[in-house]
Amino acid sequence: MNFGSFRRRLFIFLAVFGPATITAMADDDAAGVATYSLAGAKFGYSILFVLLIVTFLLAVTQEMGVRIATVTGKGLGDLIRERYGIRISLVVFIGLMLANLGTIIANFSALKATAMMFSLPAVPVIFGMVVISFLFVFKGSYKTNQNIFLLSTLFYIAYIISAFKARPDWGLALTSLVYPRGIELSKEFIFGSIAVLGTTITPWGQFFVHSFVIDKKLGIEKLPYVQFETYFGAFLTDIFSFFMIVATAATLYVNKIPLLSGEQAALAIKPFAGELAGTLFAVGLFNAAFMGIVIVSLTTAYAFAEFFGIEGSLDSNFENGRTFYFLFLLQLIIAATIVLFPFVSLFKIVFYTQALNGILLPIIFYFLLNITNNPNLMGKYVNGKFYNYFAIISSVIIICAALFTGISAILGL
Amino acid sequence: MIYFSELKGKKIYTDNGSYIGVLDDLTFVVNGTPKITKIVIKDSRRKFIFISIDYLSPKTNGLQQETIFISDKHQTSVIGENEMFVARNILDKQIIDLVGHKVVRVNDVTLQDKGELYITGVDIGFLGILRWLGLANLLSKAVHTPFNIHVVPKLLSWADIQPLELSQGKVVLKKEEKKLKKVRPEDLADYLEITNITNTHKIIKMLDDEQAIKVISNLNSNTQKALFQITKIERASKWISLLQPDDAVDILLLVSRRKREDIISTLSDVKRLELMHLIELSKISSIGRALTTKYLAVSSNDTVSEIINKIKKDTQDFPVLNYIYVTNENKQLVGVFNLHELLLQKDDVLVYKFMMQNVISVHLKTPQHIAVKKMLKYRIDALPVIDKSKRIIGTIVIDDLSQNILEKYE
Repeated sequence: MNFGSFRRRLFIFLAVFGPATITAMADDDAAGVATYSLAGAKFGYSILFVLLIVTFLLAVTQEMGVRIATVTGKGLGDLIRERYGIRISLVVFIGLMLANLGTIIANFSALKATAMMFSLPAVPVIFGMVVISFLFVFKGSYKTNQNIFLLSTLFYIAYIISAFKARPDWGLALTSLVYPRGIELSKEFIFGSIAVLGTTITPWGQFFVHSFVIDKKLGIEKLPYVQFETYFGAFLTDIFSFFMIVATAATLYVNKIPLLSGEQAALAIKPFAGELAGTLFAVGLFNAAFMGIVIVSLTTAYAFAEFFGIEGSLDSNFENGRTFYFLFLLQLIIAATIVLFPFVSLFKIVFYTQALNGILLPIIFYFLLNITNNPNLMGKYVNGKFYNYFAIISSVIIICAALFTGISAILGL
Repeated sequence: MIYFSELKGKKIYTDNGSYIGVLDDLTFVVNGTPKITKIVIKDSRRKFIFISIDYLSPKTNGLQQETIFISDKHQTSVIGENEMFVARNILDKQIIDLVGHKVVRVNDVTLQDKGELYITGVDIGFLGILRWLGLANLLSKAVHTPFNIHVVPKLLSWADIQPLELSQGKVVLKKEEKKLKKVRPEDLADYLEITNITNTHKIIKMLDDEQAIKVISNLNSNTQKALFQITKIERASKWISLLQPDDAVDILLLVSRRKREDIISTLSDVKRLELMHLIELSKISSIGRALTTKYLAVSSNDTVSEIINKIKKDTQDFPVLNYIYVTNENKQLVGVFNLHELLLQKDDVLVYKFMMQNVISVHLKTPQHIAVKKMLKYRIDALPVIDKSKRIIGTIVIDDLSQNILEKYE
């Protein structure tokens, strides 16, 4: 392989680069940041081992999604609709929409909390976020939106800086990835692990990476690059998660400071890591909320378009994409309104969302495995034997964890 | 008007009361009018039974009753070669709305009973979705009574749609061919870019050569490449030899080297030389890539009527003819004129008298954007490409370069 061909491949990779990375980064939405910070504060470096496993699981499941998208040219919603009919599509869609709404609400509430930390009034901040998000999606084309998403991932560097400022024991941190030390297999730890899993591998994540790859309109010859990007994205996002966990582990866990909620991590680490680290943490949270709000709302809009056959693309103009954009805006408005009204228990909403996600995930994996094993749809890109074993084992782990979460949330454990 | 959603799931018994199963699907003939031929029943063991619709008991009102009765003496069969399923092949699938020029999804299928049962069309509207949930009537009443609004289903007639997916591979849909002929090649190309490549291949094979070529030349390069990769050599060669040479060369450069060599080796000698020559030129520059050899060059001593005869004889297969170039005995470019100027002259006028001598031209190595600037500045949509001795190599038209310009702006 001479240098010319390497350069050519690099250019193709850069052209293809985007969807999987962005989806993975969106896992580091406000809820994600909160979860990782909490996990780090509670369990220290021992949770890093779980993070590594989760990263692999994320990569495998995303890869199936992008492969299906590139080979069949159809979204997950399209395929479910065509193979299982209207009634099942409706059930899945409603479940997805409600679960996504819960996630968007969680992001808005994190936004509200961050605003209050900066002593900013909540209402204008939330209103501003709704307006900015809508304009961003409505006015932007696929390309500009993708590039802005990618740029905003730079904000996550804030966490890297925070982590360094926390002066952690790097040796311990890095080795804990593969060799966990001091794990207490308590109920808390299991819940914590499942929370980490659940915030990384989500139903909306599966739908979004699928729809986003299709909206990018890539040809099948680009498949190897897309697959590579999937693994790249999964690892990238969890590198940032790594730093988030390390930041709180080195400051709060080590000093045995209890953390009540993830949003407070920014305040909590200040005494140990300095003003700047605290502020950066909060700024990162702001950006994470934006990513989560826009991307999850887009997921529902894309899903509706695929299930019910309307045009839905970031490149759509107003005429054709009316319903698509309207749906996007509607979710923002509903979520923002709910968050601004204090009598609604946000805690409960988050809980139910987790339960719903927990129930949806097994169903979606059933569809994914079904489709990737169907030679009529995938042609020669069907799951290879070993890959299938790995995929099935991953799915089983995820499904068990998801059901566990779902059931325990419902039973109020 | 009978909706398929109302039929699905109905219980089916024989005349003497024994239960067979529920209605799962229907089959219809593909050639000609879509007549329903068989009922597909799912029995209690989840097996599918095919029964011809002729066995419907004469005692009952056919399929519109609550329960459906089949004659006791029915026989089971299988799906025929020229039959397709209503639910498995049409329902929930994407189709081309030939009237509205877009791709839509089928929510329900409409049927009509005029002695025999036929498919009349599809429902692509929201009401179709509600019907599956049993809510369609509810919505109609809810909106009609207080507001006096009639909720109408959004229906498309069978004649105005084209299924995107043709699952029965061996079947040639005769009626579908006629429908496809009505679609403009540019629009059909848009639809074919959306569907998967096996389908694209099937549909293009159904068209006659002339239309197939037009559609192929309108496809984007990804689809062209994928299409030619899966097309057999004989058909691929035929298409390549029928395409405009510059389009053919573009495609040949897209496919794998193996495929390219296979196709070229089966071309006629004349064609092979022409295309190889163009391939060589296309390796030199972007002007070379856009070059076509379909131009008309006349001698400066030709008369108007001789030129008109030449046009009639030699330019049959030109995609467009706007300019005619004039060359001397050494084949060097000395002048140009357009059709308008030609037709304004008397028949016996010699061309050197009215041709434009200051010819705007480019070379093979001229950068693309300079060529475009010239075409825009002098308001001409084609330029001759000359070599160092001022001999014509070929011409480029603005269409081929405009694609590249468009990409820069997107």
